[in-house]
Amino acid sequence: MKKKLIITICITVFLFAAIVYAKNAYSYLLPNSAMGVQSVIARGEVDTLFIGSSAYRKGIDMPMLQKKCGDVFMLTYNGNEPMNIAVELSEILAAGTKIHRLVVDFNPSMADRGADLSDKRLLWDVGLAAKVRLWKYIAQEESTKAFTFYDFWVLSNNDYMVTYPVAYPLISSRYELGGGIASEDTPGADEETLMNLPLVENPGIHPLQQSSVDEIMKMCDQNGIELIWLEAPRYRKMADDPNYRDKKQNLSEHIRANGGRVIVSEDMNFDNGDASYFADLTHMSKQGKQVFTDKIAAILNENN
Amino acid sequence: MSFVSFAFLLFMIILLPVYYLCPKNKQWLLLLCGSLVFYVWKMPYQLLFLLFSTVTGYVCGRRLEKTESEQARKVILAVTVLANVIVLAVTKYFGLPISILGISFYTFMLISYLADVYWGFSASQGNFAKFLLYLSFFPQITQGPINSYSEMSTRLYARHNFDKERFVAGLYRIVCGLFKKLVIASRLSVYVDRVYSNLDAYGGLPILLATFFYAFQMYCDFSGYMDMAIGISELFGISMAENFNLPYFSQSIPEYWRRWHITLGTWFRSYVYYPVIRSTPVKSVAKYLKAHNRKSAAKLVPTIIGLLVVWILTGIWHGSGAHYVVWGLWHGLLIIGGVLLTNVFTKQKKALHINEDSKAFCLFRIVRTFILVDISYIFFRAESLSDIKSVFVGLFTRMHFDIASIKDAILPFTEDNTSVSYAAVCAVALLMLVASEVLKYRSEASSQTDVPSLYDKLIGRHKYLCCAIMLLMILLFGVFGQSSFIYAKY
Repeated sequence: MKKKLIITICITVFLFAAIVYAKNAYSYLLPNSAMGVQSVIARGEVDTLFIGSSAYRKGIDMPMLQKKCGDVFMLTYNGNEPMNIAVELSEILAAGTKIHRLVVDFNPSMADRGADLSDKRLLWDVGLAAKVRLWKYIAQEESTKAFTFYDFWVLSNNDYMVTYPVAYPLISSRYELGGGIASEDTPGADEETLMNLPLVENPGIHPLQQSSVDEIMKMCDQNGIELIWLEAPRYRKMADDPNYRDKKQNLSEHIRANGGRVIVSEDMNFDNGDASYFADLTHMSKQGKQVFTDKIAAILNENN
Repeated sequence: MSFVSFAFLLFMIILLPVYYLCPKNKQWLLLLCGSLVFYVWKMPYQLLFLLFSTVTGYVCGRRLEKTESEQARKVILAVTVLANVIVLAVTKYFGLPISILGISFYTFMLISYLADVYWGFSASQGNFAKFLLYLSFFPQITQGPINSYSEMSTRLYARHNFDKERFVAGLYRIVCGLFKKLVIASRLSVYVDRVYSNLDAYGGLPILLATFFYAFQMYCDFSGYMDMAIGISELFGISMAENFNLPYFSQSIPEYWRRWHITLGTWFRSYVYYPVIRSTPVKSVAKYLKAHNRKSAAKLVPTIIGLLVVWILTGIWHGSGAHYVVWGLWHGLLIIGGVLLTNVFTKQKKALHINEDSKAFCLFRIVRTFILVDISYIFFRAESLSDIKSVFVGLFTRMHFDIASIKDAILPFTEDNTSVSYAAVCAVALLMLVASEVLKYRSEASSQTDVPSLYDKLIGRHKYLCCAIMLLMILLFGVFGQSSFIYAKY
């Protein structure tokens, strides 16, 4: 019985360690051409790449943009903050991918916090070195506990890993050119609903996010990539919030001072008081998506 | 302290070796110290309530044994029980800002002890510390099982040598419990909580699925806790009463209650049902009916009164909300209906030439009982009567089975694309549970033969392999965020 018990424990520990290591070291090698970092790398060359959060995924109609502007692709993760974007971009460039123009989500709400990983799918899409880098940032946060470590290295993406043959085709079918498909579009909300939604905005830009913004600019500069920081419209309740406005001003001033180009919703004359354009405070409706995409196409073509 | 916490793991790592290394006659004292640390962990005020019950119970037990006057004994018993029930009621039903962990369970154990001493079924405990251990024994204090004093007293205070086989069996039981709790119950709770907290936003299919999942969440949460509690107790060489025996294989509601939360059912039968049907007013009603030539009514009425009292009290015991009373009444009325309609059912079965022992009929009865139990969960899980209404409105007016509705029904797991993977892991874990329970049920049915059952062949003989698979699933797919258990709030 003692021998059996020891063998069982040893096999369990070995299997556990092997599964966890294999997932963390090799998950990015599994085919992925529809969304995420590896889908960009798989393309080899992209004329205009959008990197952002769900605000981009829900706010930009990629097939429509392709018709108007040519080769475009999108990389999004939920809650994609500058720190994560910097890691994603370095992974893409390190793989030798050529990008001519990069449009990055100018998102002051995502720049007000320390390192955070709200979309663990990013861990599936990047290699071990990028994971270690992400972990180093997260470990510095005060809120990081022992469980965060376990969640990051052990628990993340396990469901996806064991259901990959079924889940990958299903999830892929919900993406087109890296963006959300038309059937995922949501109808517009009414003004009362939007005004009643809670708004939580932290004051100030976090130093880590600010340095990540600088890193993104530096990488683009070194690789000869034209960089545009583009704000996805927010509903007026959020856009007019003093905290949001303050962060927006500080961040845009910082980018402009370093020679970067920022396009905010005011520059596009986007009506952020029209409730029918929004599904909630940060995500656009089907109607808003069309208007915003039109405006982006005009900017990109004007640039060409 | 929760069983599913790092603090508890440390607690066990310290307590277990000390327990087996200390002098055997001091083991119970160490258990008492451990139990008190476990109980007061982060909530020391709870000790006041536990001490109140222990002191009143201890004094009452001693007085009951020493007092000879029947009238005085009755008064002592009534006053002590009433005082403890009042404390229980105040803490549970009058919106006290603090929650007292396990008060329902140890109050019931106290009442069973006092009643047994009063009836002369067991002797009172003369050692206050030993009595405190009976009420506070840490594996049982938060959610039971509601162990009887006569059974526990011989085990708790005995000397225990380290028994390797028993220890390993205890560990296996703990792993089973962790698997049920972390891989099944906690996963399903995400879906159930999301749907039940916003019923009007969901269609009929997600509500139906949430209600179906709740049956398994509840079972895996509660029986998972019991597996852990019994397993932990086994590590110390102490056996506790079983609380579950394949409840979803019951063929009738009374059978379900003999298989689900067994110790609560036994408690209500022994300390409420029998005392009620043997009470003077109920006996007088039966006598009156008998005198007026209503012999069958004279037999049935006390049973019905007893059942109604038991089920209303069971509902109230779970909480002050009216939905708990509706839940209790639902079970009570189903059981009473079964009692009243026995003859009708027998005649119908004869007329339709139904073979009661056929597998198909047994399966029909199992499915029927499960559906009736699952309906009762609507009353149990809902937070108010208006929630119950919302559930039925959703089920009957927003039920669609088109592809889009089926896709939407998977979404509440994570509310994004990963829902499919999350749901698939849930389905595999549930299938593992159901397969093991089906095999166990079949082995139970064929237990009279000497031939080893499929359960013995596949699971019984490969416990280590099963344990390794469950451990891997816990470590890789466990949902560790929630350390609380559903029944801890009752």
